[in-house]
Amino acid sequence: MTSTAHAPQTSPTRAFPHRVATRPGRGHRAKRALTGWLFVLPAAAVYTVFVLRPLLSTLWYSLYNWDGISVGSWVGLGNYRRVLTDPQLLSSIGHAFFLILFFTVLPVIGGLLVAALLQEIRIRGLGTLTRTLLFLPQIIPGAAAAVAWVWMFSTNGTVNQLLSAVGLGGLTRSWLGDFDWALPAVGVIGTWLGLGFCTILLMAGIGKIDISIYEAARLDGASFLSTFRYVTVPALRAEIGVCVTVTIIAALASFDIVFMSTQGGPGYATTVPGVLIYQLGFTESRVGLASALAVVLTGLILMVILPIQRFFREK
Amino acid sequence: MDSHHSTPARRARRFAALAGAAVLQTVVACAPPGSGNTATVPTDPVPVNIDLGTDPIELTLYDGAGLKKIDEALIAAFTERHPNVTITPRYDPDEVQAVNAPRVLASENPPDIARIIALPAAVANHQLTALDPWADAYGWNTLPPGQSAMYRVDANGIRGTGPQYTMASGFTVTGLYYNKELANRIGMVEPPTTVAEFEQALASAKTAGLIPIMAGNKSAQVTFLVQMMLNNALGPDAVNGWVFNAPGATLDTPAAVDAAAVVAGWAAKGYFPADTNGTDATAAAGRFAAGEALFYVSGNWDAATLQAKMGENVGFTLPPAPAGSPVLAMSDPVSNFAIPSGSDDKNAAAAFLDFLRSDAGRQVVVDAGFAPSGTGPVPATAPGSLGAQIQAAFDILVAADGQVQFVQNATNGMSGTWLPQVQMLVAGRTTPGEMMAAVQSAYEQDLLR
Amino acid sequence: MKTSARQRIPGLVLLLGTMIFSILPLLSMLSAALQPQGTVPLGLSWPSNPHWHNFLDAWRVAEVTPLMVSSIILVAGVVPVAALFAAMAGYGLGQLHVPGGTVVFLLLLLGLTLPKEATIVPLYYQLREMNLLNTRLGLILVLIGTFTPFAVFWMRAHFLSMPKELTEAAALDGAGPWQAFRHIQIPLAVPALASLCLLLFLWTWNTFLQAIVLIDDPGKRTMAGALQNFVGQYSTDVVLLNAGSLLIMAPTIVVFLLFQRHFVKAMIAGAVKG
Repeated sequence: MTSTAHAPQTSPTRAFPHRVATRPGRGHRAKRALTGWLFVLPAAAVYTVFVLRPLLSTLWYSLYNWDGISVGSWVGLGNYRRVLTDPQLLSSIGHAFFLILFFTVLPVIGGLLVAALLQEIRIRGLGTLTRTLLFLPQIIPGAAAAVAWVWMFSTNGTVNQLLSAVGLGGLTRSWLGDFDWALPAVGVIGTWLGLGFCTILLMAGIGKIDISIYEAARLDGASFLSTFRYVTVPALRAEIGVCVTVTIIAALASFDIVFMSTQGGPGYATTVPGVLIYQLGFTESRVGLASALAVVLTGLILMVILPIQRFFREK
Repeated sequence: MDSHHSTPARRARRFAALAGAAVLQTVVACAPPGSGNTATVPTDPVPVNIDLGTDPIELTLYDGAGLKKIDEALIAAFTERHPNVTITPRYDPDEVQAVNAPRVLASENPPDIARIIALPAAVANHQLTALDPWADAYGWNTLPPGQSAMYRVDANGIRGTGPQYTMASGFTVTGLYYNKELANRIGMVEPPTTVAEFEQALASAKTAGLIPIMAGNKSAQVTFLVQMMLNNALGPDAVNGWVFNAPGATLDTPAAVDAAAVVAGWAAKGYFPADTNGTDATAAAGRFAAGEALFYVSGNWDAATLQAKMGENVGFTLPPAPAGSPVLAMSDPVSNFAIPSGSDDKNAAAAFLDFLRSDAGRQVVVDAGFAPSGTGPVPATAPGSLGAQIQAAFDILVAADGQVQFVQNATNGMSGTWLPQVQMLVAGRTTPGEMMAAVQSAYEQDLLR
Repeated sequence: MKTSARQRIPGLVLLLGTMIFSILPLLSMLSAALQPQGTVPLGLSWPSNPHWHNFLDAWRVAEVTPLMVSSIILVAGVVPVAALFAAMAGYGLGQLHVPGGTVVFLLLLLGLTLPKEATIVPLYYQLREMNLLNTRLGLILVLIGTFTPFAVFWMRAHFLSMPKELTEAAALDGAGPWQAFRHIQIPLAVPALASLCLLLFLWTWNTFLQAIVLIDDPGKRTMAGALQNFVGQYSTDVVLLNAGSLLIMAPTIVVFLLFQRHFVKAMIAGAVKG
């Protein structure tokens, strides 16, 4: 579509040189490259200075014993050894994985059930109220969610009130101050965060499934459960993958909720790596150890997410 | 889209190799973190002069925002005495003042009077002026040894000995508040002075259906009780030595374990509120003020609130000691003021430090609700008030030289170890032996021993 | 074909249950906030005499106005700049020729799964060195950096779907790359940009960890970040605490209600693309 009458004799600045026969000189390609780079530069610059450089610094700090004030002293892999052998630090990682049960498994199952049972009610038909309420937990800041649930779980709070109302008054306690129940209680907050989100996501996903498949299944005499297992779940593979990824990262890297509700207590019952990193790094001035834990946490998240992404994205 | 010479994969690999090398290079070649903070060259000693003259002098004071009230009162009183001196205060939020201090001290224009929390580090970085010349001139050798020890650190970073670097503006003091009405109910006429009497009162309260001791253990308040027992068992020198990082200091001894076991026993008998691990310090003070418990373990920082809410119904007593032993209580500086080595007018700053222990200064501090620095006549307080009781108790404490440092302050990270350990102790999730071993282990790791 | 009622009813019940579960904590906060101040309310109980003025008191006590101003300033600093940089970078990676683009891509990919805790400790010391600690500018720059990976991927995905002929046609007309970008691509990218901005707004407004670490003065933080200080100060007065926390949550809820259709669409699409 080039008009030879108007095209200049020197090669035009085209975005894709190899599409059209041109006579690019070396300087020409350089100019194009420079343009491309200039567009990328601002974002790359901010990202490098405020994300990549601190990341490298975390690695660097993790090799020292440093209190943030004096000069650090070299300990090599000593901090990592401590992270992997200290029972308190290890248990924090264990707690993070335990939270996955509440942050991920319950919301996904709940969302799947709702989506499967209501498969033909599409998102649009759900109505503003439903969408709003289901999404609300994701909208408010995590710290605010924690404040809300601290009140719910307190000795005079709604949870105890409901338990007494249904005759289970013997179970009431100060949930977030109880060594055995504090972590599950924090987990419930995570379920609350993820359930609405997963429900909406999965309902949106199910809306894409062709109704005729269900019809055919029903005509073949398939039960709800087998339809669920062989039609619904596989078709929702991508959406389930998203739910799982987002909520697992929230569980493993959780900070806002745990920090504002229990600060890791009582004792070490609800310590999670995110909160420990903050405490070690800023309250206890154990910067090197905090950095090592941060590196381990990052590695764990990558090790968990990459296989999951691959599993849910293939085919 | 890429050039002809290499595939994206090969370029990515090359980049990864380069990046790895860069990281290694950075790691190996760079100086350890914190190297930027160090060593201002020590300046030449300033000739000591206790006469400030009449020329205008300008000083700056640096402290945490929570101490604004007391500092402003002190500044006002001091400048009344020395009208030619102007002191401009500067406050950082409390929780960051400790982290900001080294940078502030190392800056080109450091303040003249600065509150120091990490004393050994500041001295190691040559950021503070040794005050011994002024100590001689002003006669600070009359300070109680226990107080003087809080101001000293030696060349190895061990506190408690060495040159003097700081002076406290005032002191905190911990003890037991008690509800007088509830005390009458169980027949406790006088507050307990020995541990035996204390345990008896606790048992009576429990039988009478009261909460014997209120403690907000979400904020680790039971640590105070543990330390009270440690003070009694080990003595002030051992405990102070541990906090001051003396070589070989340890809390993992049978005597210490027994002391912790006493408190564990109280927890097992239900002397603390059932939800103590879920109650923070503010809530605990409120609940004690509302009359829920007989005793409340805390310090003079809660006096104003309790006085306002309980009026005449609240009393204060020092921690119980074994019969025949001297009284001991945790007490540390409200603001440990030092003179940065870069200060312009050290004589005037030293005069301010001396003012802190003067009669006028002591009165100002007591009026602000704290315990006074140094020795002297007991400052006036409203008769019969809670403040008066605390003041009288503090006076006894200083006379007996029984001021002990808080074990949570032994290292920068220590409070983060004591908190969960004491919570577990109270809930029966750890034994006293395991707790003291864990505490000692964290202590040694922090100090790289 | 209709799903049987037998199947639909449990579904509806579950859905209703989820909705109630989602709103319950906020309702219980509301009921506590309306009690007389200084009392200790019991769970979810609608007071006979709702004290609506508690919200006015809490507004004053929690200093909500300066907090809102602060959050608005932060949003104004982060969202436009992050969106612009991301659009440029997305355009560069999606339409232009960028040598080493794969490397940039991979590095950004890393940033997508990086937890904020991985960089927060050195960021404190780095900002301190740059004299940006306790400044909004510092927090703004950090947040732009944090949101860049997602934003660039988002815009790149959009630009990849745009036909390349547009740029070529523009080039034929003599337009330079920047002009092509500004006058042709950007207007076409508005829907993608709008969704991105909504998400960036939400994330900036709700930033917590970076706000409390990098800014000391609670009045300069985000509203979420200011919660920490507020809770610490008012932990005893449950009524005031709940009222103030609701006020702090209110702006996000209001904005969400106004734009909720777009929000839901954006968040779902964002999650899927991420």
